[in-house]
Amino acid sequence: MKRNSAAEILERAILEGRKAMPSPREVDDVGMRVLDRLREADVHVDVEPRVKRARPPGWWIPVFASTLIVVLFVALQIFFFVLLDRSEGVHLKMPPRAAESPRAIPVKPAAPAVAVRPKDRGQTIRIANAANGQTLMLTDGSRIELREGSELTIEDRPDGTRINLAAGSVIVAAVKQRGSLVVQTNACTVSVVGTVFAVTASAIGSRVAVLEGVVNVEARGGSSQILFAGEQFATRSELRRLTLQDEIAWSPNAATYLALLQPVRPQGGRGGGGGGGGRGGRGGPAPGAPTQAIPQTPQAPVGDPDVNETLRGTVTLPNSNQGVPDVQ
Amino acid sequence: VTTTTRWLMTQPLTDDFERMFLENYDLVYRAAFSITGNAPDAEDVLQTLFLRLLKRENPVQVEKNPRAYLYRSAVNGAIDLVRARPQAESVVSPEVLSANAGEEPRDKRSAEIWEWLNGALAKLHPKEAEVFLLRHIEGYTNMEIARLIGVTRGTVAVTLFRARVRLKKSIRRRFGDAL
Repeated sequence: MKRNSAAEILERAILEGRKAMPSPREVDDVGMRVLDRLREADVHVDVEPRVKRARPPGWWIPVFASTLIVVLFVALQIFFFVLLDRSEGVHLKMPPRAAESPRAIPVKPAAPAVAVRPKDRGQTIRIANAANGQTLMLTDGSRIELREGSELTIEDRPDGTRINLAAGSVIVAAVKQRGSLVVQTNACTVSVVGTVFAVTASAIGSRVAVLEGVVNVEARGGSSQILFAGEQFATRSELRRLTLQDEIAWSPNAATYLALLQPVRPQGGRGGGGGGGGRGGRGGPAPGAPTQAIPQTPQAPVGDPDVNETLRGTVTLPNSNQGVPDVQ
Repeated sequence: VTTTTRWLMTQPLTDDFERMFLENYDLVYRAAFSITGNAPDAEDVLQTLFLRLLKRENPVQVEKNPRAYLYRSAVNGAIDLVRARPQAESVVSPEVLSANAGEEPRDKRSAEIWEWLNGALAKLHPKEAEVFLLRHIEGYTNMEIARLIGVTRGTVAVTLFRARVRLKKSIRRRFGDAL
């Protein structure tokens, strides 16, 4: 038998294939048969009509007019937004809704919150006289309400935000923090996680009043103190003592803040008069831990300058050159 | 605004559709026949393909290049049909492929070789089978094939070369000892 290469076999197969193909007549017979069946076929047909609706003359006018109106509207929005932003020198930002921030405090419409832009960070912010209640909003939603004449700077730090209060009073409504939110005066440092508190800085010292939540106050000398809602703190006994109500009386939202204290009042304090120790000293209890704090209602009397005496709800820490007082 | 309407087709075929059928049915049928290897299956492929067109399942491609689309669809449909068949071992013998197989009746030899070629084509890539058939069975030149299926002449040549290589490998694998 003669040996064949694959190419030869393939050529032969091709030749056989050509021979095996049907004749033109056979193809025509099949074609006509199929065509007849197609003509008689009952076929469910999905048809997309190709009929183009004749457009009436001038159809483009309403389309053009609508487009023009939309473009003008958007342009005006952008124009006014930019104009407003430049004229006031601030970027207006709507405060977060209460549902988004469980600690959101409603503010009066008359004092819209002003967002603190990144370029504002580190710059001194002074609040003009007769501008009580001016509110700054941080990017995380925390709000800082300022008393007239206050002066502060806001800094971004790796561990959080730091508010340096040089003078005046602020009420901070801090949202839950990823890092820390710290208010620093020349006499103390107040760090929070999520709370509402007021800080007043003056030449002789600082006062802190907690309206909601827990704050950690650290005096310049290093003494730390945990304050709970309704409690106050003063760095020096010489500072004029105020009730909580008076402490935030300057704020247009004072009533709103005081309302936060309502749940505290009936409790009569957390373990007031309980065992001592740890309170007011370095290395005090961690925030949220049981403590000897003395709660105070806004109406509670505050005033004995002697820090060794019981100051209902008010704790005074010494400066660095002073000893740690026993508030009990 | 276009809407899709579904209804039972009772009206006669449109002139465009009938013209498209008459211009291409031979090409479709022969392509299907060269792969299925028998008239009933090829006729089935032809009818199925145009029924699908009647339902407007692929109107866009048809409008671009109807002849290329129909030929490719015929090859694909035929390959699908052959591959769906129960696999049977080729009955063609090396002797049948031999040029000296004079003792075999010619009709029988042709049928067996034809059957082997059908099976081998069905195992090729559809595009390779398409080009191979157009070149070697239908007798088109590479340029004509390129125009028909919308590719370059170089692509046709390369595809054709690959198809031939695969078919030769298939031959060697099947009849290795006898070659």
